[in-house]
Amino acid sequence: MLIQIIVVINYSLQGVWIVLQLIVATFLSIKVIKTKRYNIIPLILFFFISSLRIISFFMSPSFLIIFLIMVQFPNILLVIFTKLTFFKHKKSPFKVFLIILIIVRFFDFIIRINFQISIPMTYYLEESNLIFYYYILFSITISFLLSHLWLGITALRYYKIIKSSNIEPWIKLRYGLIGWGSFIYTFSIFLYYLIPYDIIGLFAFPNIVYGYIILGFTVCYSLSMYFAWIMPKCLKNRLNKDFQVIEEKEYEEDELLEIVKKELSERNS
Amino acid sequence: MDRYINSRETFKFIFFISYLIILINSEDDMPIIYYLGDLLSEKIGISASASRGLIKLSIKEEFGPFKPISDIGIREYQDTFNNSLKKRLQDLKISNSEEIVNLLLKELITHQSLITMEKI
Repeated sequence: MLIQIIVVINYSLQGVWIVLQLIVATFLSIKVIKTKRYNIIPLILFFFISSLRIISFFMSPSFLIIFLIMVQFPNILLVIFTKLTFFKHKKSPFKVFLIILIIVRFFDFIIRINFQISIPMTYYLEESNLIFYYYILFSITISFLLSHLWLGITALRYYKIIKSSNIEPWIKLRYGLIGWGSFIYTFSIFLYYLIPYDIIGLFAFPNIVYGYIILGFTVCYSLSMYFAWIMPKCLKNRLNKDFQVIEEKEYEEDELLEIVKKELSERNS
Repeated sequence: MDRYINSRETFKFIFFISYLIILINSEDDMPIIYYLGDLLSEKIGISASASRGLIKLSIKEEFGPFKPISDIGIREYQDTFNNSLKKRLQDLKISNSEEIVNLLLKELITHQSLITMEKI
């Protein structure tokens, strides 16, 4: 009975983060059409693929190959999003990160397909193959560090730059949520190191404990992304209540140039 | 089959929710122009509102009156600063116009993510 409750709670929490990410992805897809901000597309694919791979995994074991292919892409897409949004025409470690990720994820795919390695393991792994288990751990770590941590640090650094600028507070909060959400989520990878390779199944002790903590991190991450990208109007208004919105008067060209010339001559006199 | 129908229904539901959220969240327009306009105002010593007007005018000159300013991306801003804004500053006899344009371009690159963050 207790196990059944644990399983139901686990699946419900999985459902929560999957639905949250699908809502964000759908929302951003509509926004991309409206605003033509095409640099968002990798982020949309990141959210879609991250959620759909789990759905494909639960729907049928015959989708395993699709699942294994899907596992390889989200982190690469996130790195592309960071580059296109923060570092276009600007020096960045993007190329190095991308090459490392592609190589690491390629071997990750080969190993997973040959040895069906997952964390936690679903069968007893021979000690001679333990190196492959550690490779998968290494692959997850590198993927999180290069994608989530890079995005997290970049967003937080920018948040620090604009913190005292005359920019609407809700935009600042968006950077903060993306930054802190990604930064904290990165550290969930270290919990994978605590999961023993020789204890089989997600619902065995202590795997279940670590599994739940990791799931907690994932739900928090999905929530922060949800509020960062789909910030409710009432929250925006609340954040902006002390912000002075500039009322802009529309000038005709000649009128504006007259004002500029007048202001320039006043400055020079 | 049931599972297929259920997943179709779920996707329809998610799409509907997202569309509702977009309808509820009305457009907020706080372009990067406000930030760069403040900078230009500081550099050439005119009011911030006149500086923003100058940038908007340059964009209209570069891309015509029918392109909404909110659709302008980083490349278009770069073209605007390098061409029409630079020419306007020179016409206004601003001595260090080249230096000011370079500063605006540098700040645009630094703050490029704002173009995305403020529009989504």
